[in-house]
Amino acid sequence: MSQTQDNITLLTASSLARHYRFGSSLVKALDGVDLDVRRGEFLGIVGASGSGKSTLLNLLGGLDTPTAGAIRTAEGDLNRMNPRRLARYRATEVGMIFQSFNLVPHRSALGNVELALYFLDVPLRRRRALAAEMLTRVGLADRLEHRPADLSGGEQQRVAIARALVKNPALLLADEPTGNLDRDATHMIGDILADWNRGGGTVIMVTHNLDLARARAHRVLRMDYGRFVAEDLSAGGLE
Amino acid sequence: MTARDLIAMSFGNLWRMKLRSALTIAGVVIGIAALVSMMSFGAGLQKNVAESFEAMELFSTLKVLPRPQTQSSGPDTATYRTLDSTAIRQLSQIPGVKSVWPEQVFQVRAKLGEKGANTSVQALPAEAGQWKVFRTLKAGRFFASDTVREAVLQRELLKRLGLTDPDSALGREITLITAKVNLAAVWGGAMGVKGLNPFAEARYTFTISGVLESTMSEYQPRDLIIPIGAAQQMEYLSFSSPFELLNQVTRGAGGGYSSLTLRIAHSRDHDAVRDSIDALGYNTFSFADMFAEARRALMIFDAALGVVGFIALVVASLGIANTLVMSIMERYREIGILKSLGADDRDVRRLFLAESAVIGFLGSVLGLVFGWIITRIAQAIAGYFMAREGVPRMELFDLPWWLISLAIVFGVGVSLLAGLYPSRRATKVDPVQALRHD
Repeated sequence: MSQTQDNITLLTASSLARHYRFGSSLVKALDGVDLDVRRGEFLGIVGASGSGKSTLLNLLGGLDTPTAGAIRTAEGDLNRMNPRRLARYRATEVGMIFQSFNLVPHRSALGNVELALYFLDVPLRRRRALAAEMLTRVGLADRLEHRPADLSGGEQQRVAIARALVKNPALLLADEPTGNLDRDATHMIGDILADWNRGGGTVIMVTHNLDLARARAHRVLRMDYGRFVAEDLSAGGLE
Repeated sequence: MTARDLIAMSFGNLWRMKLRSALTIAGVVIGIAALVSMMSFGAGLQKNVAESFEAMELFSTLKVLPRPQTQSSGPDTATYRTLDSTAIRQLSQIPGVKSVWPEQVFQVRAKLGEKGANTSVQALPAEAGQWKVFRTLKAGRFFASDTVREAVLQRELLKRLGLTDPDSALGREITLITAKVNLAAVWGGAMGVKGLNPFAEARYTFTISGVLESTMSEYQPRDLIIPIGAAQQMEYLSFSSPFELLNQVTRGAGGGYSSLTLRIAHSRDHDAVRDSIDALGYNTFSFADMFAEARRALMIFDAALGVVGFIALVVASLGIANTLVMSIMERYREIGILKSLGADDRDVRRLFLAESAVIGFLGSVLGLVFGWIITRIAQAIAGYFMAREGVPRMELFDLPWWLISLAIVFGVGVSLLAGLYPSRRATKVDPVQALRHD
């Protein structure tokens, strides 16, 4: 487990709510969440399906906008950012990985990782070099030209991690990163995330897998019905 | 995202969907090919008219005509300021005027050996030898002075006179037979003497100095060209109305010419010279103005032809819009991925617009090639029929740079318009929805 977390707050979410209206019924996916994330922290969030974990990650990643509340980061309040600044925030500050990998099927592993640098205007040659280096770091040096369909689930997720980390973001958001993987692959992905965290990166990982969260995270929170229901479930915390 | 990335991505996306992209591009190809082949026909017509004007230096030529001057006493008593040698002198002195000569075109019977043919003669100054049309003759040279008894013939006339080889005609003598008024007979008739012929013929011998290749143009020299000075020594009758005949009969008493031809040294002086002639009391006919009018008419004709191509292009644009909308549906998740990686609405819009621009560009370039091939085939067919009918060969189509540029700008422009709606729709893709795992 990382020892590099410091007391500097990376982001603060306060009274965060995300409601959806389906016809006449109102679904409160997120209902008044408060959260402080410190720089260098590995935060695990566990909870049942529909508890609001992914919604929270989408809001923190600037992909979605809250119904109420605020998310403050070093770049400013995400709610007050115009769409262009928010896109810039996603391009520079946040890396995201998903349960279903979300790789572009017709692009090679290298091409997928490169995509993250398109919106940072990194020149082609440098882009290629950075992408190849990152894929090598996640153990895929011999899979650069393979397309997602030619890779195993674990390898695909490693490509997705390389894509998220190649731009060296301040925050890595992992949404069920091992949900589709076997035990060995889960272990490997956990190692990669922990390694990156040890290097000073901040990780928020949403998972069903409490063991994984406990093994890797400094702090583990449980969500239910759009709220945090337990303060710290980590190995050193209270269950 | 750099322009290079955009173009590379667009080509990549189109390449992946080869058949669909090819069919979409084919729509643009047909539209542009129709536009180009139609408009190049109009451009060809325009070029042919302009070239024949240039060959005869008509852009710097004015025709001076007498202006009716209504007098106060009595009805229908219009008089004309005479176009005589004084008028020629006066007009020559206008600044910017290079030369002035009387318009002399008349009918003769030409005889070369035993063969004869009726034809029209045009009298021109020796300086006309510098005109583009006379600079490269089929054989021989233009006459050297205004008074020498030499003639330049169109090849067609030479054929009618039984000679097919232009070189063999050079140096041979040709007799021009004109009709003239027999004044003695006219007066004799007036005195009651019967049986006198009021007309007589006059014979003049010229040496053939050059042969001109015939072209199929409305504005080309007559079949037989002789020096202006030599023509002035000839007696002939030529009239398009009884009044002109009357004018010619009385020319000795100051009747003057029916019109004068005036050359301007620089076309920039055209308007000033025309105003000066107007101030002297003569009417003018400007070939430059005539060309401008003809050009306007041709442009309308061109635009009408262009509409056909435009309609084909509009149909093709629907194909582009359809292809891009399909592409958005298929790439729904990819758009979400791009947005999660930092693409903003502008990036997504540009990506789809770049794809429509690439479709438009490729379609336009291929359409130009295809359109050009169509014009070559049409030209070959027309050329075959022209040759069979003995009509001189004429280039019917022209593909100038402006038309090439217009086709590409139009093809890309219409494609971009077609891409506007799909690209806007692509920006509306919600990344949260798009990335939701199935």
